[in-house]
Amino acid sequence: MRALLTSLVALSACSQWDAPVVRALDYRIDRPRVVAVQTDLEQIGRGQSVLIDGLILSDTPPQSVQVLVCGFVEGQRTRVGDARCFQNDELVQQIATALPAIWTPPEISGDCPDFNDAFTDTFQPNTEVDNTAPPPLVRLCAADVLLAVRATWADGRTAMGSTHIEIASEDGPTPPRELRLPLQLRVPPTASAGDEVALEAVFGDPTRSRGYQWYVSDGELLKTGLTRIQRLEDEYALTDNILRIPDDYSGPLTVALVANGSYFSGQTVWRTAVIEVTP
Amino acid sequence: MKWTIGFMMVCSACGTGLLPNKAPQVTHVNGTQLQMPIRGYGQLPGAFVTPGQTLIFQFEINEPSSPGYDVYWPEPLPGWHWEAETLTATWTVPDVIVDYDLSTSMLIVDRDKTDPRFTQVYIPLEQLYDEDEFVDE
Repeated sequence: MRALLTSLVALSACSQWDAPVVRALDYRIDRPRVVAVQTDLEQIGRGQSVLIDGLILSDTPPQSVQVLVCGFVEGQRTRVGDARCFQNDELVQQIATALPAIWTPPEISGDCPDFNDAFTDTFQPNTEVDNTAPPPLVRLCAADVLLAVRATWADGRTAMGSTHIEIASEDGPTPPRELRLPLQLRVPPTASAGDEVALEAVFGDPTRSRGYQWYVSDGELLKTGLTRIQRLEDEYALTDNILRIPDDYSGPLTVALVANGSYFSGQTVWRTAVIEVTP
Repeated sequence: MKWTIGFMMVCSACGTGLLPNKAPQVTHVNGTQLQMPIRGYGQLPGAFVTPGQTLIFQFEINEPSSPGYDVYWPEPLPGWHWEAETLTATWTVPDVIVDYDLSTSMLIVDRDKTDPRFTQVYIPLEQLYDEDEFVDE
């Protein structure tokens, strides 16, 4: 029995069913999911507060929501790169129990290398830079930790999603990111079972070409769960998809779109919509 | 005996057993045999494109060890068309290219539900600019 259990553990460990397939094809809301976590700051400067929100997709609302941080040790700079951090209860702190949440982390140590030393160690000095301007946050002085949203349902199901955030020991010059960037999701309000319906989204950042992630409660997305810009409309980026509704479906069908952000491309934003499907 | 069974299960799942499932393999593109067939992750030679041009990729895929496969094009380019029956991708390059990153990827997923495997083929594409567009100031 022990050998079989060991084998099963190993089976799960060496599965090839990983990132590219999951990102493209695991788009159904067939289980509770936290598919996006957003913050209005990339780096939290000394004394700053961060606004945290998450997109929870499920057939029913969760019984409870927790906002967690993992790997943050007060007064120290730490770096956490793996969501498995949340498996270690000693490293996890609960910072809120509802969304959206606001968190002001305790200050971390200011014992950091001098900005100019750190800069010249890494880069060639650039004489064209305005040296009188306040320096940006120095990455070497930041704790890089994980923020997560964990939702729990009454029947014991759980779902979690996470994102990185940096907590700096310096004052934070980074202005908060605008979380209300225009994103319009266009879906037909009604459809019939078996239909192929056009889904469109218009996003207010024409420079973000990729990273549009779709989720549906049922059916098949003919362009997969990942799409990119198809064309521009008045300086807005338009992306699209086609949803094939199952022949035997009836009732509300949820469509969600997440415009994934990154350190370079800005914030993550999302929209959801419902199509009422008749037999 | 139980250890033998366990070992065989692990080996078969990790592709090292006697009869392992293997990922689909791209062997030919446009009739030309690839020097190194692509299985798992691989990349085709890059191509420069110009607006209005039509590119055609006709693939030959080898997948003998499972009940078949499906081909997907995540993040499809505008104007990209896939003909599953003939394994032919046709791209009519839009007159206005708005995406600075034209590269695309093909995802071939086998239908073996017990040990699914996939191959991802990266296709580097780049817009060919007219030299006259760049003017020295």
